[in-house]
Amino acid sequence: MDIKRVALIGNPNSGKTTLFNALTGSTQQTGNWPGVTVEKKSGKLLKYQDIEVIDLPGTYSLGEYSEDELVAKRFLLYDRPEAVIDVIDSSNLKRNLYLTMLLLEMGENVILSVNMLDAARSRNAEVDVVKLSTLLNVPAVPTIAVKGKGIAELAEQTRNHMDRKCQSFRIDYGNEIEHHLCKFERLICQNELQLDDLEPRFLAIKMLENNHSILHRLREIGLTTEQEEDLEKDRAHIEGIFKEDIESVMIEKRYGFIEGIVKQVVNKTQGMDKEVGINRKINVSDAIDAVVLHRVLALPIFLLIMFLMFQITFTVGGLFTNLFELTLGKLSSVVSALVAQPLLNSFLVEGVLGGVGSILVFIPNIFLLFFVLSILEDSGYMARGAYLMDGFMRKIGLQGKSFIPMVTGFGCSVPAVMATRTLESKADRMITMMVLPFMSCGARLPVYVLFASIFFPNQEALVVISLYVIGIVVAVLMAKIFRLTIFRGKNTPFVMELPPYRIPTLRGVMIHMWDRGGEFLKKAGTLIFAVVILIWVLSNLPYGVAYASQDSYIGRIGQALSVLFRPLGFGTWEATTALIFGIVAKEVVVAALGTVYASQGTLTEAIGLLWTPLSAYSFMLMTLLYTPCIATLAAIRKETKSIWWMFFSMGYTFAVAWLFSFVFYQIGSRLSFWLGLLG
Amino acid sequence: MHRLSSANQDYLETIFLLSQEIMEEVRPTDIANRLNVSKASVNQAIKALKAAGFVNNERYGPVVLTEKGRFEARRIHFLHHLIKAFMMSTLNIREEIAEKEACQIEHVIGNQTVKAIVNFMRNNNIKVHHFDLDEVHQFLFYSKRLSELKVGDQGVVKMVDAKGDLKKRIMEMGVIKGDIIEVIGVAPMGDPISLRIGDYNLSLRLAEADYVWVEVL
Repeated sequence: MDIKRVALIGNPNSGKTTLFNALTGSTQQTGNWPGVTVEKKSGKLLKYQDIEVIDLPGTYSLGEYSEDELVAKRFLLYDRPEAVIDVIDSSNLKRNLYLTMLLLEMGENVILSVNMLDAARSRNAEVDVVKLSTLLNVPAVPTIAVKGKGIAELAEQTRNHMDRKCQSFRIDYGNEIEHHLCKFERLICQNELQLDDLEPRFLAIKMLENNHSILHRLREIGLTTEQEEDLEKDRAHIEGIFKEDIESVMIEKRYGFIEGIVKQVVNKTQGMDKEVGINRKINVSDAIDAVVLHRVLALPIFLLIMFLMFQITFTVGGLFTNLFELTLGKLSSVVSALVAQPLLNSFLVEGVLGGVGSILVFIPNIFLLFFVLSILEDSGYMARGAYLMDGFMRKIGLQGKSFIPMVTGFGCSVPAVMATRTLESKADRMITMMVLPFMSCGARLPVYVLFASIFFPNQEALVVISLYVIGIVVAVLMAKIFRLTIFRGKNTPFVMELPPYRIPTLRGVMIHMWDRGGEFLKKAGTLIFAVVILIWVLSNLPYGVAYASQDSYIGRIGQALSVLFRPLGFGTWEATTALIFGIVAKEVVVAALGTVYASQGTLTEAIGLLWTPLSAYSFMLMTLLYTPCIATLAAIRKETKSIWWMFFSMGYTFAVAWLFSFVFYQIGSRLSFWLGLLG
Repeated sequence: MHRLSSANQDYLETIFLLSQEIMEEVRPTDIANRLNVSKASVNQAIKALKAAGFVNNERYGPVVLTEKGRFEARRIHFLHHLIKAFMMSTLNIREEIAEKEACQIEHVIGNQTVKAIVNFMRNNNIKVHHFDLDEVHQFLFYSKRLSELKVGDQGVVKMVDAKGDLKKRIMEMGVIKGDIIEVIGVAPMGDPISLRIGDYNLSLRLAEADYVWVEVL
């Protein structure tokens, strides 16, 4: 069967994701775009399995402003899908049509999904879809993706128009510009400067706009220097006439053209102040913003929401955790009773159940956190958070949009690193990526819980919170230092849409949650399992050695490196071993401790005997701050496309952690010594 | 805002006037002739104006005012005539002297004084040669940067004074000449601000809002 491809594109917040889910159902596959880690999703059209839908990142334009834009542009330019479904939010027609113009100019076979007609209607605007279709000469289907309306029709139309030859579409740029465009079109045709099957008109526009990548490609196939100089002159001529740079002129012309279309297809019913052009009717979104973005109330509300987020994550998550723990405990006693062979028994109980089990117990937390984050994102509140926090984030050398990855960092650093791709500036992105591992991720929590419950049974919460706060403070500090040293440069622009509030659909949130939680689960399932087995094997070799004793390989490695941690208060081979394997995944610290202390009674007893409150807190500090887990490092490597940044992240976080623990332990032990003398 | 030296302001104004008078491309020679200076100093001034984004000029080519340049030139030009008219009509100063001194005062006079003069002249029905005083008033006091607007203020976008990617981004997001924009809120720390353009809300930092000139409604 010949598979045909249709790309799904649209502005952020145009309902594209919902539409994608509705169109493809459960046939989705997620992966990454080549070269970048922008998520790539694709799926088969529900009724027509021979058509593959590729979900492009939400974008306002097809420039090179962010990685998302670049991915979308490259796919359209180089992979040439058979058709493009362009989702437009009909309550915000004008700006959404801008992308449509770019697509049509590119010569794409566009099928319009005129989405959210209900939202437009609630704003007293009626969109004439038939007329829009006629004016742009493309098929247009009215849809309300959240309610599943128009989806079948859209799929049908898409299939029918898969092989449509796109007719050339022209925006009239006015005599002055058209004259030059014509000239270049001729030049392209006469000199056979053909790039794939791109329209000469499109190439002419890009030439005039001084688009470097297109010019570069044209140069390769024979655009001469004289021709380019000529082009330069023409550009200067136009800029002289319009007294504006060429790109701005083109943008204005496109918007002018759109204005004309909007006038013809939108019938404003009532409540519109036509003179002013601003919809004065207070809609729901503005009413919510009046409270949520209120000068005084905004921050308390924001903090409350963050508080609730963690309450839900950890209290509700705790219920599941207890359930898992109980089940696992029962399971190990069953296994112990059934398996008599000691080595196999040890492998199953200590290795498999003990290791993987300790990951499973806090997976509910991770999923719940992603659940809440998805709600915040889908509802439109995340953008408000970025808006509210921008002032603060800028003070520490970042910007409002960094806030989202930073908050995500509390759940898991891996998706947080991935979330930095919404940042347009490379410097902002790098700083955010470098400091967000300090945000205490969910995997570190079991370590705190373990030690805090043993040594600070009455102040458990306080101890855990203190670690979270220290993580934030260190992140802020390091961000500031990075901004002043490696990633200097002025503040980057902050141009962000505040999308209208929407009620998130359960389905959308669930898909979101499974996508991200699944990412974590995969990592936990394969990597961590492998590590736990590795620990177990290293603990049992050389053959015949007592399990996880000092003579085992793991004991020897830990012993050798433990010197490093002596000034921090936990220079034992057990602690060192646990930390080494914690690099592979933070949650393994608990599992590893469990394994290495297995010969000394229960984990709680062993730790209670061998550690002091001071060394325990020092160890927690270390766990909080030191080298991110291998999955995070891998994500950093992929996002920065550099192995050196990965090594840098590994090294500098370790140094920071060591320093903090060192200072804490040294001051702490002196203080307790003097306090002891005093009292 | 980028402040020009008095001399460069004069050059800017001259380019503006020449472009209106001769109705074709202004060349450095024209400017040199008009101001009675050497071509070398004209070229130097053009370089400075170009660097500040007020003019476009290719080597050996004509000098073209940018949008921002025209805006600034008009402002200086208005001020010049306003001051001259005020000196002549109210203070009974001879035209030659008024012309000469207005030329200098225009560079240093502050908004407060200008506002007082405009009000005085409007109240006393004094006419300024060539201009409609109301238009001058509108231009001088209602053309503001978006960052100067208060919550609830509305304005018509006049120009986006940024460069390169930032300008493109702001425009592609729908901030286009002639659009109406309303400031609907300010973040708790005073920055960024949220705006309404047509059917959607956008947030900009004050630093970016600084680039957007609007005519206050």
